[in-house]
Amino acid sequence: MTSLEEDAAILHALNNLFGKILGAAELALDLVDQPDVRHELETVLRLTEEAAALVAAFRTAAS
Amino acid sequence: MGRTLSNRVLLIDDDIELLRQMSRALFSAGFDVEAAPDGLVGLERFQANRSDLVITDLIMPTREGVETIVALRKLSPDVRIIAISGGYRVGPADFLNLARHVGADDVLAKPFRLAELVALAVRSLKDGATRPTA
Repeated sequence: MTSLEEDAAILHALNNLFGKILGAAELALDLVDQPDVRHELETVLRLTEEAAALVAAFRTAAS
Repeated sequence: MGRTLSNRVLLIDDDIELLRQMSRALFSAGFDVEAAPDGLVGLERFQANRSDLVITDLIMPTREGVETIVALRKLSPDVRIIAISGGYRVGPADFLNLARHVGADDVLAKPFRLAELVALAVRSLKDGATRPTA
Protein backbone atom coordinates (compact mmCIF):
# COMPACT_ATOMS: atom_id res chain seq x y z
CA MET A 1 0.00 0.00 0.00
CA THR A 2 1.42 3.43 -0.95
CA SER A 3 1.51 6.32 1.52
CA LEU A 4 -1.30 8.00 -0.45
CA GLU A 5 -3.44 4.86 -0.12
CA GLU A 6 -2.57 4.63 3.57
CA ASP A 7 -3.64 8.26 4.04
CA ALA A 8 -6.90 7.55 2.20
CA ALA A 9 -7.60 4.47 4.36
CA ILE A 10 -6.95 6.41 7.58
CA LEU A 11 -9.16 9.32 6.46
CA HIS A 12 -11.92 6.90 5.50
CA ALA A 13 -11.73 5.30 8.95
CA LEU A 14 -11.73 8.71 10.66
CA ASN A 15 -14.78 9.87 8.71
CA ASN A 16 -16.62 6.68 9.66
CA LEU A 17 -15.70 7.19 13.31
CA PHE A 18 -16.79 10.83 13.29
CA GLY A 19 -20.08 9.79 11.70
CA LYS A 20 -20.77 7.25 14.45
CA ILE A 21 -19.92 9.73 17.21
CA LEU A 22 -22.33 12.24 15.64
CA GLY A 23 -24.98 9.54 15.31
CA ALA A 24 -24.65 8.38 18.92
CA ALA A 25 -24.86 11.96 20.21
CA GLU A 26 -27.89 12.74 18.03
CA LEU A 27 -29.74 9.59 19.14
CA ALA A 28 -28.90 10.34 22.78
CA LEU A 29 -30.29 13.87 22.37
CA ASP A 30 -33.64 12.30 21.50
CA LEU A 31 -33.61 10.45 24.84
CA VAL A 32 -32.87 13.23 27.32
CA ASP A 33 -34.64 16.39 28.45
CA GLN A 34 -32.14 17.69 31.04
CA PRO A 35 -30.68 20.94 29.68
CA ASP A 36 -27.18 20.32 31.06
CA VAL A 37 -26.98 16.86 29.47
CA ARG A 38 -28.34 18.20 26.19
CA HIS A 39 -25.76 20.98 26.29
CA GLU A 40 -22.92 18.46 26.68
CA LEU A 41 -24.26 16.32 23.84
CA GLU A 42 -24.55 19.37 21.61
CA THR A 43 -20.93 20.14 22.48
CA VAL A 44 -19.96 16.63 21.36
CA LEU A 45 -21.74 17.27 18.04
CA ARG A 46 -20.03 20.63 17.53
CA LEU A 47 -16.54 19.40 18.44
CA THR A 48 -16.86 16.30 16.29
CA GLU A 49 -17.81 18.43 13.30
CA GLU A 50 -14.83 20.69 14.04
CA ALA A 51 -12.53 17.64 14.13
CA ALA A 52 -13.97 16.38 10.82
CA ALA A 53 -13.40 19.79 9.23
CA LEU A 54 -9.79 19.78 10.47
CA VAL A 55 -9.18 16.37 8.94
CA ALA A 56 -10.65 17.52 5.62
CA ALA A 57 -8.47 20.65 5.70
CA PHE A 58 -5.39 18.57 6.49
CA ARG A 59 -6.04 16.29 3.53
CA THR A 60 -6.63 19.22 1.19
CA ALA A 61 -3.39 20.85 2.32
CA ALA A 62 -1.45 17.61 1.88
CA SER A 63 -2.71 16.91 -1.65
CA MET B 1 -48.11 11.07 -13.87
CA GLY B 2 -45.90 10.82 -10.80
CA ARG B 3 -44.99 7.79 -8.73
CA THR B 4 -46.74 6.94 -5.50
CA LEU B 5 -44.81 8.20 -2.47
CA SER B 6 -43.75 5.33 -0.22
CA ASN B 7 -41.67 5.17 2.94
CA ARG B 8 -39.92 1.86 2.37
CA VAL B 9 -36.13 2.23 2.51
CA LEU B 10 -33.28 -0.25 2.15
CA LEU B 11 -30.03 0.68 3.93
CA ILE B 12 -26.73 -0.91 2.84
CA ASP B 13 -23.56 -0.35 4.89
CA ASP B 14 -20.85 -2.69 6.16
CA ASP B 15 -20.44 -0.59 9.33
CA ILE B 16 -22.95 -2.29 11.62
CA GLU B 17 -22.96 0.48 14.23
CA LEU B 18 -23.70 3.17 11.65
CA LEU B 19 -26.28 0.88 10.05
CA ARG B 20 -28.02 0.61 13.44
CA GLN B 21 -27.93 4.37 13.98
CA MET B 22 -29.27 5.18 10.51
CA SER B 23 -31.99 2.52 10.86
CA ARG B 24 -33.10 3.94 14.18
CA ALA B 25 -33.19 7.55 12.91
CA LEU B 26 -35.15 6.64 9.77
CA PHE B 27 -37.53 4.38 11.71
CA SER B 28 -38.18 7.20 14.20
CA ALA B 29 -38.96 9.48 11.25
CA GLY B 30 -41.63 7.05 10.05
CA PHE B 31 -39.75 5.01 7.47
CA ASP B 32 -40.18 1.26 7.01
CA VAL B 33 -36.51 0.25 7.18
CA GLU B 34 -34.68 -2.84 5.97
CA ALA B 35 -30.92 -3.13 6.46
CA ALA B 36 -28.15 -5.09 4.73
CA PRO B 37 -24.44 -5.38 5.62
CA ASP B 38 -23.12 -5.36 2.04
CA GLY B 39 -24.14 -4.93 -1.58
CA LEU B 40 -24.64 -8.63 -2.20
CA VAL B 41 -27.16 -9.07 0.61
CA GLY B 42 -28.67 -5.68 -0.23
CA LEU B 43 -29.43 -6.76 -3.80
CA GLU B 44 -30.94 -10.03 -2.57
CA ARG B 45 -33.20 -8.13 -0.16
CA PHE B 46 -34.14 -5.59 -2.83
CA GLN B 47 -35.19 -8.35 -5.21
CA ALA B 48 -37.20 -10.09 -2.48
CA ASN B 49 -38.86 -6.93 -1.20
CA ARG B 50 -38.57 -3.85 -3.42
CA SER B 51 -37.97 -0.49 -1.79
CA ASP B 52 -38.64 2.93 -3.28
CA LEU B 53 -35.41 4.27 -1.79
CA VAL B 54 -32.00 2.65 -1.34
CA ILE B 55 -29.28 4.30 0.73
CA THR B 56 -25.92 2.65 0.08
CA ASP B 57 -22.37 3.06 1.27
CA LEU B 58 -19.76 2.96 -1.50
CA ILE B 59 -16.67 1.34 0.01
CA MET B 60 -17.60 -2.15 1.23
CA PRO B 61 -15.64 -5.41 1.22
CA THR B 62 -18.36 -7.53 -0.38
CA ARG B 63 -19.90 -6.07 -3.55
CA GLU B 64 -19.03 -2.40 -3.22
CA GLY B 65 -21.49 0.43 -3.71
CA VAL B 66 -20.86 1.56 -7.29
CA GLU B 67 -21.35 -1.99 -8.56
CA THR B 68 -24.47 -2.24 -6.38
CA ILE B 69 -25.91 0.99 -7.83
CA VAL B 70 -25.38 -0.26 -11.39
CA ALA B 71 -27.17 -3.53 -10.53
CA LEU B 72 -30.03 -1.68 -8.79
CA ARG B 73 -30.53 0.58 -11.83
CA LYS B 74 -30.82 -2.49 -14.08
CA LEU B 75 -33.39 -4.02 -11.73
CA SER B 76 -35.40 -0.86 -11.23
CA PRO B 77 -34.90 2.36 -13.23
CA ASP B 78 -37.32 4.20 -10.90
CA VAL B 79 -35.81 3.36 -7.50
CA ARG B 80 -34.37 6.40 -5.72
CA ILE B 81 -30.74 5.90 -4.71
CA ILE B 82 -28.69 7.89 -2.21
CA ALA B 83 -24.94 7.16 -2.09
CA ILE B 84 -23.01 7.83 1.12
CA SER B 85 -19.24 7.70 1.55
CA GLY B 86 -16.37 8.85 3.71
CA GLY B 87 -13.83 7.57 1.22
CA TYR B 88 -10.97 9.70 -0.03
CA ARG B 89 -8.73 9.99 -3.00
CA VAL B 90 -8.50 13.74 -2.88
CA GLY B 91 -11.86 13.87 -1.10
CA PRO B 92 -15.16 12.01 -0.68
CA ALA B 93 -16.46 13.86 -3.74
CA ASP B 94 -14.44 11.52 -5.99
CA PHE B 95 -16.44 8.47 -5.01
CA LEU B 96 -19.70 10.38 -4.75
CA ASN B 97 -19.28 11.88 -8.24
CA LEU B 98 -18.68 8.39 -9.59
CA ALA B 99 -21.83 7.20 -7.80
CA ARG B 100 -23.84 9.99 -9.45
CA HIS B 101 -22.35 9.08 -12.81
CA VAL B 102 -23.56 5.47 -12.54
CA GLY B 103 -27.04 6.34 -11.33
CA ALA B 104 -27.27 7.68 -7.77
CA ASP B 105 -29.91 10.43 -7.52
CA ASP B 106 -28.41 12.06 -4.43
CA VAL B 107 -25.15 11.82 -2.50
CA LEU B 108 -24.07 12.58 1.06
CA ALA B 109 -20.48 12.73 2.33
CA LYS B 110 -19.60 11.15 5.67
CA PRO B 111 -19.56 12.27 8.36
CA PHE B 112 -23.12 13.61 8.37
CA ARG B 113 -25.81 14.24 10.97
CA LEU B 114 -28.62 11.68 11.03
CA ALA B 115 -31.05 14.59 10.67
CA GLU B 116 -29.37 15.44 7.33
CA LEU B 117 -29.82 11.87 6.14
CA VAL B 118 -33.51 11.81 7.13
CA ALA B 119 -34.14 15.18 5.42
CA LEU B 120 -32.40 13.99 2.24
CA ALA B 121 -34.38 10.73 2.26
CA VAL B 122 -37.66 12.65 2.51
CA ARG B 123 -36.63 15.07 -0.23
CA SER B 124 -35.37 12.31 -2.52
CA LEU B 125 -38.63 10.40 -2.28
CA LYS B 126 -40.63 13.57 -2.94
CA ASP B 127 -38.46 14.35 -5.98
CA GLY B 128 -39.03 10.81 -7.24
CA ALA B 129 -42.78 11.08 -6.69
CA THR B 130 -43.03 14.26 -8.74
CA ARG B 131 -40.69 13.10 -11.52
CA PRO B 132 -42.65 12.23 -14.69
CA THR B 133 -42.47 8.57 -15.62
CA ALA B 134 -41.84 7.38 -19.19
